[in-house]
Amino acid sequence: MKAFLKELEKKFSLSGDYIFKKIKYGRNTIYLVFNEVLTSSDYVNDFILKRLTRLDKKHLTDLMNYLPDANMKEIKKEEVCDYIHKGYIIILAKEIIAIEAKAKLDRGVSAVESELSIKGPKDAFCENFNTNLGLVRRRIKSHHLIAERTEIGRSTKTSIGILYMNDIIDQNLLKQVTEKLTMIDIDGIIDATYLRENLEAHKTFFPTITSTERPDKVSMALLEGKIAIMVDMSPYVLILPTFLIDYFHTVDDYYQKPINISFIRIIRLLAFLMAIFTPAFYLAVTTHNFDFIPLDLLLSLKAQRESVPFPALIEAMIMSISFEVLRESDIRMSSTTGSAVSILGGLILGDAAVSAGIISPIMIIVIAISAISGLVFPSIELVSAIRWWRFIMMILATTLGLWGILFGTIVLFTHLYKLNSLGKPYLYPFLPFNKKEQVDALIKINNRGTKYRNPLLTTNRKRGHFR
Amino acid sequence: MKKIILLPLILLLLTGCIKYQELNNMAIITTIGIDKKENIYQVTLKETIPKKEENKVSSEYKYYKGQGNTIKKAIKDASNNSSKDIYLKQVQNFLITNPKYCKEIPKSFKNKIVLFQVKNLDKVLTTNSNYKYLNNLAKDKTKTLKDCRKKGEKKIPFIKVYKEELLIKN
Repeated sequence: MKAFLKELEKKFSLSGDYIFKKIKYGRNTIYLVFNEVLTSSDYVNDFILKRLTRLDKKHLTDLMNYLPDANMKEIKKEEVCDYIHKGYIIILAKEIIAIEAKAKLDRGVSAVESELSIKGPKDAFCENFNTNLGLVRRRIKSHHLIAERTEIGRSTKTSIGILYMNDIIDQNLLKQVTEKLTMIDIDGIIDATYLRENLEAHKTFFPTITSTERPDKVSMALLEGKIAIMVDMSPYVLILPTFLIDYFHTVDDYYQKPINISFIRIIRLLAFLMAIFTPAFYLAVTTHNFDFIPLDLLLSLKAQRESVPFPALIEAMIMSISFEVLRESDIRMSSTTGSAVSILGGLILGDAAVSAGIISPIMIIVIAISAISGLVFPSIELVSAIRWWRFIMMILATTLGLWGILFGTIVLFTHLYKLNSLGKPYLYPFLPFNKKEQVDALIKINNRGTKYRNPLLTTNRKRGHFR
Repeated sequence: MKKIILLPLILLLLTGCIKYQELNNMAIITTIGIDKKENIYQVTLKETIPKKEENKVSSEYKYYKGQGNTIKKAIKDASNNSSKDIYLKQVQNFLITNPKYCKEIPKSFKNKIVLFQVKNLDKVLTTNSNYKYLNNLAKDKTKTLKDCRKKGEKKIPFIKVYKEELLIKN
């Protein structure tokens, strides 16, 4: 044991946060090794050191029974390093014993920040894997909820949990996910989004994996037969497979009256289309297809453009890019300086640019409509996809007019049609069309529409009924 | 993915910007006056230049004159006098001195325009009367207009104006 201790001391000698403690019992000595920052000092002092010092000599050979602790294990020499880094205290006696004494290094469960809802629970995932798993387990109290645990990352040794409902899940899907995860060999997984690279099959701007901070959303997805991937130290949980229509749904849709939800969902679809097409349409109409709009409107557009020195595309680009800059700075800024950003941005972009004659007022309206429409979606990935396609459409519209937009639309939809998430078509249930699934796709007639699960995801389709 | 990138690139590079026009560089013609002198058509294109003022849009006008054996040629000739691109698709009304010229008006105009017969062409054209005012006048004769369209006649609705003072807006 002394040789092993020397080895450990050599390993940890450079950093100062590893603690080696020696406790003597007459001729016998036991050694304690732990990391100061990863373990809770209260726990170490009160429960372990106190008990150890009061220990009788003759019990030394039988520590496992005299230091009872729920999370206490006998481990091998090779495992010692891992356990120290997990926040365990290692006791080197006759055998090697690890006792859990993790320090609380997270912020606890806090309120939802990015995916707000009006009704519905307000708790969000945090950085602690066990807390996150607990939040889901508290919602689904069934032994069918499986949380397979693996570790990925040579240095970080991050715990990854694959969550699914054993009685619902399509085993084929599960196999795909586990296979893709085992292929990862990297030194570090810092956040759940690191796994995206491996799980997304396509090169596309559109997200084929949802990431969410809402435990209720994850629970819903699990009950539908989807897979959730939880990563330690990441407050976002990945849900897959994902369909495009999932981005038009929010958890709030299930907490409010269904009839109102249909309206909101149609608004969201409109917003999606408007976010992509509004600037392009404006550009097409003011550079190519003048006969498309009534003369009065054309004259009023011309009156506004008269003093603007730039071509319409440049004008639109200036506005879009300054909007993106504004948004980015607003995200990165702390909330104290954030108000300065919004005042500056609002004043300069909104008013001064117009009165200086650089930008026409109508362009501000157009860009603002498309930008606000884009912000309807809480998913930053979808917003980025929308942004790319907005620029593509803008360029096509200035070169080919409405024909360009038509061409772009065809490309966009064939592209979306080609996409899949874990082999499931992205545009489902519209392409391929499923009549029965329409009850909870774009319109929602009543909550009873959710009696059955998605046939693409599972064969165990019946969920039950409300009445 | 390569194809997706390549296809628009090819399209953009090979086609350039067909028909690309900036709104600023465009002369929107709203009214065309046609006269005939010594067997040669004299065409005047009236451009409406909207000017933005506080809370409303007012208009200024500019005139381009041209002549030719046919109306088409005359319009082309007039277009050459302008530094801007002449935009003719939104022409709202024609002022002609003789109903005979009707037949000569290019077919592309015959969808929605209104024809006025006037004697003193230049005077009517150069007054501040805008296309809306003229069209409103025609609305009084909507019956004839509607009838023409209902019957599917290709004839342009034709309005004879007896009092020219009517066309001149105060």
